[in-house]
Amino acid sequence: MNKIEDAIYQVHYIDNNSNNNNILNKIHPLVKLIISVIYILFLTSINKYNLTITLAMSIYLIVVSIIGDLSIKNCIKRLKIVLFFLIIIGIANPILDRQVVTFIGIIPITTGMISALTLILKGIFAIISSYFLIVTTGVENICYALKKLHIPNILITIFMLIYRYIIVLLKEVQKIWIAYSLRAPKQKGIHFKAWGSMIGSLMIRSIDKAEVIYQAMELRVFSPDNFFMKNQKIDRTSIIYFMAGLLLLLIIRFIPIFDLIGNVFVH
Amino acid sequence: MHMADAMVSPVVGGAMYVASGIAATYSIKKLREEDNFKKKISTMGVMGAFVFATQMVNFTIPGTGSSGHLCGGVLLSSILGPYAGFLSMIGVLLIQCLFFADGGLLALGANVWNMAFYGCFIGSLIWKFIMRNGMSKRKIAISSILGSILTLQMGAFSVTIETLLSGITELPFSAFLVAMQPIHLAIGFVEGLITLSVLCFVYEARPELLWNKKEKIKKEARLSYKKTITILACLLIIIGGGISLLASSNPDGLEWSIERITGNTELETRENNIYETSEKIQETTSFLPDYTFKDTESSIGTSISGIIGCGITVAFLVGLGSVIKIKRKKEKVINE
Amino acid sequence: MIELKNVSFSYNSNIEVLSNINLNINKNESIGIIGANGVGKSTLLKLLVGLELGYTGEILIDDMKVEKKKLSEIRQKIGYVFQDSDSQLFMPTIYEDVAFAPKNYGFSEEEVQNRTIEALKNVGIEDLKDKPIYHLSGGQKKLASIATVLSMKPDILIFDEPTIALDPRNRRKFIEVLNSLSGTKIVASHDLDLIYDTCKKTILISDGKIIKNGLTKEILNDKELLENNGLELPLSLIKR
Repeated sequence: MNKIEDAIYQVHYIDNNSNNNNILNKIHPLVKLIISVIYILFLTSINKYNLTITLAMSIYLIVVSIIGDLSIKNCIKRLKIVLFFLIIIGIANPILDRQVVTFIGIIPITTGMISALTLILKGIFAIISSYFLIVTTGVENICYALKKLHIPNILITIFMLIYRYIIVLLKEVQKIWIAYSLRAPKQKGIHFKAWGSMIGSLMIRSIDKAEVIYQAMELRVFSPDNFFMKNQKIDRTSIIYFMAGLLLLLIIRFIPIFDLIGNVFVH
Repeated sequence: MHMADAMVSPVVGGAMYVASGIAATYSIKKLREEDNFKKKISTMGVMGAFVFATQMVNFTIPGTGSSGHLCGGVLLSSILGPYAGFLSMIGVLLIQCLFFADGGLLALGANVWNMAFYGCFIGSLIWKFIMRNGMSKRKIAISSILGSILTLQMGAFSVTIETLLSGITELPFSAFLVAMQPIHLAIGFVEGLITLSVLCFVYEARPELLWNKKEKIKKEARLSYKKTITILACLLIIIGGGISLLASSNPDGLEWSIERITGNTELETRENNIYETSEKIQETTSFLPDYTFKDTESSIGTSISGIIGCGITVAFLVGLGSVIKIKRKKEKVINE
Repeated sequence: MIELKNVSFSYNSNIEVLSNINLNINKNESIGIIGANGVGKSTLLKLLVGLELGYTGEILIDDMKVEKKKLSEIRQKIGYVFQDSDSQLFMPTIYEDVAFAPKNYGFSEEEVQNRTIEALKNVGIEDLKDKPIYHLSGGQKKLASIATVLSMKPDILIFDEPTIALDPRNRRKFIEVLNSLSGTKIVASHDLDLIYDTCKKTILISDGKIIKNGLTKEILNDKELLENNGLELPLSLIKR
């Protein structure tokens, strides 16, 4: 089951990357989170026929990838799944919305084609932007940003614990799966007779593990309200990054600057 | 069933955040009232990780060549109860959205609602109702299957409504519904089968782990049952009201209003001035024929020149980026 | 320092896991607790830190009775290292995990930092402090989990099966670290070589009762006694 290995790899990759000594990594997590959210809001609020601005929103991603020296190579796999769904949803648009707006050669371009394209682009861009966020920030810092946003401590604690034990349990599932597939080489998945006992016993073990974790926490006086994180100050670089990011987003979202640039070349 | 960011508009995404936020706040309040909620937190964390890990497992569906997967809401709430189950599902969905691009930041509220809310709250209502006179394997089976199918149907229905409200597809409501519901009937059935086999195993091995196994149902339980139904009904009315409102007015009401806020007309006049001054440069630099969309151009906002301008900027930036990359590599080599 | 008087304990009131335990542990002593699987070693340890409370008899730590209202005080004195390091280390990075207890006990930011760094130095893994936990090997995890209790500067250290799943080199490293730590140490294990290398005194438990309490050398050389209680001579003492 490659999915498990993929997931383990993904978590490791993001964790390694978020510990890099990169300019973007040093920006205060709250700033990065807010800029990313603004980006997604701007992106998803674009009119479905407005291909120009949708395309223009890629500028932000390119700029961020240059500053942070990021590549989207690792992101492509994630894109596939989402593209699949978006295409299913978007496919109806060219069929149902057939107002012709122009021709490229002899191929008619319809409003439906444009809206399907913007939909797919929006999907891709949104994913790349949140990918950039997590890969430069890491879960711990995201939690810190969430805490600063007054997200309840209980939720953050649960989130941190899930994140902490994901690898432990993924490896456990992997072991079970290997042990199973060695004795059932021809099966692609788990036979239904084994569903309950396999997953059920893993679940019972997990609950028992949770009991021990609780004891370990209790011995060191745990309470969700003092589940702490290192305090970080918003430094000057972060403020500059925030202002610059916001300005860039405002420009590409609301000023048809690319019409202007294009007009230089098109007569 | 995860919705991507592109599938929701900011208003729909925001509204679903509010709805899920209310449910989460209520759950936290309820959880804190429990005697041993600290202990439960560690269980919630590990069970969240457990659900996440088992979602990666392929389950072979008997009689077909295909395999199914677990979503986990009903399973979680049958162990932890609705409130704790709901909160751990939020954690799972947040991890999925950040690490694996299942869903998105904007769509998180919607995803929490569609998958966690129904799975945990409705799922545990069904569980509670069926188990009211004690537990048995048959009852667990009925509750798992019924719970999974019902909650997935509700989830799929919500996805349909949210997508349509966001105005991103041309599909008519009925066609979308016909496409979504039957698929999720099958998915729900498989989910139910997995849930039931796991829960039956736990029932035989360690029945005390199941939710509500020890305690008898108190009288106040009835009250909370009514409460949830009331909340649900209210939300349905709100959502339903939203549909009819949005459907009757401008279909792109939101985008339209945002454009109005930013003052598009003002920008256009400024644009024209710049056009005039740059006319001369244009004549010498233009290399592309004069493409324009018919009269629709101004109304839909997509223009060929804009796309070309954007393309040129992107190409420039990508070029710049690769130059910087090459430089960085060289520096690295020198440093090493 | 630690005193148990007529202590009995059962989980579900039918089967006694521990019965009539009498025990005295002095300051700075190192004690091994041995016995086959399921004889009640872990339960005994859990009673000492109050993870299980429904016992009969009396348990005194520094003349304080182990009961609910004293737990916070007692737990500052005792560091408990769990068998499974993954359960002990629940924070994302080592630093945060080691700083967890001092922070929760309300020490100042500076003090927390000092204690954390010192604890990491004591087990020799300060260079790993910012690493995510799942990047560590089993041996590193074990050392990290010792550091998490050392940061509270406890007088008493309790280890539950510490060498399980450690390879020979990590096991040796663990023994080195253990011997370098000061204070009272209690090690429960059926790794008898470990007990032989680290503990001066040993308690043999079988079926919830103390069978023998004496010097490690004597007990671990008594082949008949060990075999009667489901154990075998330590490998290092078997003559080939």
